[in-house]
Amino acid sequence: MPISTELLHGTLDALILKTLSWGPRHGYAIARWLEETTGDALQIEEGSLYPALYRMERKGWIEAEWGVSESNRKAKIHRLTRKGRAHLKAETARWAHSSAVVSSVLLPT
Amino acid sequence: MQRRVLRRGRALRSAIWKERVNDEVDAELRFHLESLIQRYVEHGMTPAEAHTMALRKFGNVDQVTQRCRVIGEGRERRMRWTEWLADLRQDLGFAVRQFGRARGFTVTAILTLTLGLGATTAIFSVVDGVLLQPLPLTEPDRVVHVYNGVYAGDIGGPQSALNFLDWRAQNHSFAQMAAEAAVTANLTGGCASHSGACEPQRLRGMAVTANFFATLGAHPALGRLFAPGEDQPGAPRVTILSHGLWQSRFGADSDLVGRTIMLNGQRTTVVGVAQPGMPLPDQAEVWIPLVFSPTDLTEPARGNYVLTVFARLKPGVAVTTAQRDVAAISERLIHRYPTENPTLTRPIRLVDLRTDVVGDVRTPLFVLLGAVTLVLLIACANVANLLLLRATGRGTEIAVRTALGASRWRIVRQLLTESVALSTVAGALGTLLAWCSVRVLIALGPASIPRLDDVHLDARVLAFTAAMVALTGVGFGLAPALAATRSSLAESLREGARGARGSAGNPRLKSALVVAEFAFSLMLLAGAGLLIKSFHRLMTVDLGFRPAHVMTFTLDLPSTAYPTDDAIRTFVSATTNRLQQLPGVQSAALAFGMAEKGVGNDFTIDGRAATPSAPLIAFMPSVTSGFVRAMRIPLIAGRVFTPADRHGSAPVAMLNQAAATRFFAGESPVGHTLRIDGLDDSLAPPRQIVGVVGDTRTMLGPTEPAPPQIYVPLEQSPARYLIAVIRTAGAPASVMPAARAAVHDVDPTLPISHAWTMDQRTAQFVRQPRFYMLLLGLFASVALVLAAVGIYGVMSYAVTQRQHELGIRVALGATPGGLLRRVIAQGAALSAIGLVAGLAAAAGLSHLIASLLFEVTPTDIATYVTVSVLLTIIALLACIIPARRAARVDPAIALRGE
Repeated sequence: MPISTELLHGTLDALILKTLSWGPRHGYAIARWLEETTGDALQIEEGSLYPALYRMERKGWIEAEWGVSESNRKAKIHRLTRKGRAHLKAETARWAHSSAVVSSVLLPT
Repeated sequence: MQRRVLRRGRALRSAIWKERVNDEVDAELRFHLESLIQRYVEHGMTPAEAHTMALRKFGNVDQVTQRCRVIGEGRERRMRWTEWLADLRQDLGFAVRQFGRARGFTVTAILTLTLGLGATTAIFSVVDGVLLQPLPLTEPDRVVHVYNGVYAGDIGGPQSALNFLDWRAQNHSFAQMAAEAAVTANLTGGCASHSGACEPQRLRGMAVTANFFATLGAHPALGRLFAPGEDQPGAPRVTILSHGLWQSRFGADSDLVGRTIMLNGQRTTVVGVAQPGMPLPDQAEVWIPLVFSPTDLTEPARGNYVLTVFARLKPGVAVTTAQRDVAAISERLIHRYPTENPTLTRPIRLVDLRTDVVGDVRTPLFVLLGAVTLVLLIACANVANLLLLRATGRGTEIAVRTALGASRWRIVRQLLTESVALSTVAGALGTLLAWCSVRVLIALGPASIPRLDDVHLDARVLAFTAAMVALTGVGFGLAPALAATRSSLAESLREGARGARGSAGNPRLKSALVVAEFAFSLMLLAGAGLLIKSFHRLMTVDLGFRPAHVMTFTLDLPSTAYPTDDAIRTFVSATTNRLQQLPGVQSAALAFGMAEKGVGNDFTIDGRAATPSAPLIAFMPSVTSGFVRAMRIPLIAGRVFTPADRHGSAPVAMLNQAAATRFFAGESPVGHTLRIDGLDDSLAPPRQIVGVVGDTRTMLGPTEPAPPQIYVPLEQSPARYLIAVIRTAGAPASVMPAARAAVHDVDPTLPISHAWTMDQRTAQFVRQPRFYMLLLGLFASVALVLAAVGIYGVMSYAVTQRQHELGIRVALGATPGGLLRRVIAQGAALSAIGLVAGLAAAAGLSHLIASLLFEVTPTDIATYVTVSVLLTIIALLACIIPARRAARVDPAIALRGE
């Protein structure tokens, strides 16, 4: 079942940060990775990634540098900062906790 | 390191950062879309299909672009700010290390600037509190003091009750018009809520019309102000106390309103306490309603000018319009009542309340602010000089940094950060210094400076100091920073290799700074010199009597207890007798009209017609027979009063020298008869002149020559407001307890006030000149020291610079004496230029302090010569140490290079 396109900011941010936690990559690569790992379940417009990226850069969670893509083209490469890594960790823990609570209520054994 | 380069790259492009963000967003999104299209094409779509598909997958491109741009710009702004902060932190850290390495320089610079900034802040806070802050009233700009044009002299402008009422009824310009008159206010009961006991005290009282406070726009601190109708005959007796009196005499008792106090022997209800800091020229302590008596309101009293008039302009009415309005009414009144209303000797003037309150001190305070600014400028010049000297030692460092790629702007910024850091520390210390010295200033300040209570180190003053810190930091730092970074890279490195003696310190700039310092110092010294000379004149002026060993106090006989002249006479003779018999008292007297400024009396001389061009007007003090002896006023002709000149004996008078000269030029006045006009003919009996005594400068202070005076015996012309004069053998104040007891022996409820020695009384007159003299003298001394340090620094640096050249001179046969003279001549030339410039400026500006000078002209040659010589000597002394070092140059060492 597809997840709603109205994905919460915080969740999209966390997903992007998670993506970047395996190494720096450009926006297109982030979109591809999200598509592959979630299959068709996550239906978002890929354009909405970018405001999120710019916002997180402003917050200092990620930083960017111009580099070269696999196809040898100029691309903006995003990288996780220490601050961003800490945020991802906190966000993951929060998600695990709240989903555990919600599951225990909604899915009684 | 890489990140730093990236950051710097961004910083360089910061001017075009907005376009940069746009380009960045466009490029990034284009890359994404093109990658998608390429992927779909690889999957076998046609380019057109792939394009459509990619756009669908991406969403609204324009919307995404717009949002990214907005966020990106925010990010960029933030980044530039953090970069700026990071640079600042780096520069500051560097500056602190630099200062740590050059402690002597740092301490000197900070101390110099602290003096300058502290003094400037202190004086500014006074100027701000006294002159710039608005008066604490509702719409104070609409309040004016209406000066009637009747009397010449500095207390001109009173009005009579009838004329005032006509002004009030007929004008079209004022929303309110109010009047006040000084009244006796003896407080004898009701001070404490339970016992009601009170040490009898004379207060400064003002009778005011009921709308007085509303006219000013004042508000009560407690209770209420006067209500309409409270100034009508028969209204209950009410009073309003000043905030200061409420605090000092009534312990700030919040239950005071409604209590009854004994005022002038009458039970009076306190209805309110006025706001603190009532901005009025007089310092009234109690206000009571001004009730016009039937006598006040019958025509002969139209000539009785006793009221001070204030008014509140209607909204939108200009002062000049209102002035014409009042003048027109007065013209009509003069025309209609020519006997009672004399022709105006001056135009009627409306003066806004602020000018009225602070009028006299405006110029002196701005002069002080100007003077202290000069001190700050000198301090800045000195520190700039120090920085120039230091820049010389840092030539190599700067060259190395330039070689490593730092731009000139970046290095200038680093140097400016250092100088602003210095001025900031100095500003903080200076604020502390100002905080302390403002207290001293307020304590020292003459009572004639109004609103001193309003002086605080508040946010406005701190903002001023912050602005001065920034200005001085950039001011003294910019020129040295530009000079330090001007020299070419190659040159600096080459010279640096030769021992870090770069050409960074520009000698011409240093010389210019020294010249400026000397010019400013001379201006300050000249001003201080003029004030010192003036003060000396003031202190040595012949007062016409001997103030030492004289005790004085004042007595105010309430008309309720002393309704008749006979009652006053009884009190006067009983009191003088008791005072005279006190141990240690040589002579004692009571007098009226000696210390008060006032209005003269008209008189006529028998057998002589008065001419309009030389009106016969003189002051008429009345004194007991011991007065001339107690004051030690010399007798010039005839005799002094004796106890035989009493009520019922032949009326007599004595003239002072000024009156004798003015009215009897070249002729002896003794034996002539005069008549002093009063409201009533019975008060003007023929008086025979029996003597002439010397002039005294007691009435208007030592700066004013004695006005013509006609002394009459107090017994023949009784008055209620009296000053006691007691000449003692020992310390004058020691007689006071006995004198107090003697007075209370006669009347236990009579307040005794202003118990001062005559020396203290005369000192009151010189408080203001002494205050200005001390401050300007202090500023001039600081300026002198700073200027001396400045020229010393420049000369010793020049000697060090020229060691090589001097060595050659010695090797070629120059004598040490010759070198000494050479160096001193160089210093003398600099200071001479400064001297000449300073003399010209001082002479040009000296008229500003003309009003503060007594018997000294603003262009007093002797003063200018003295300060020039003084400054020259200081300059030469400051040059001697470096010059002697030059004379001792060892050619062998100097020629070797170091």
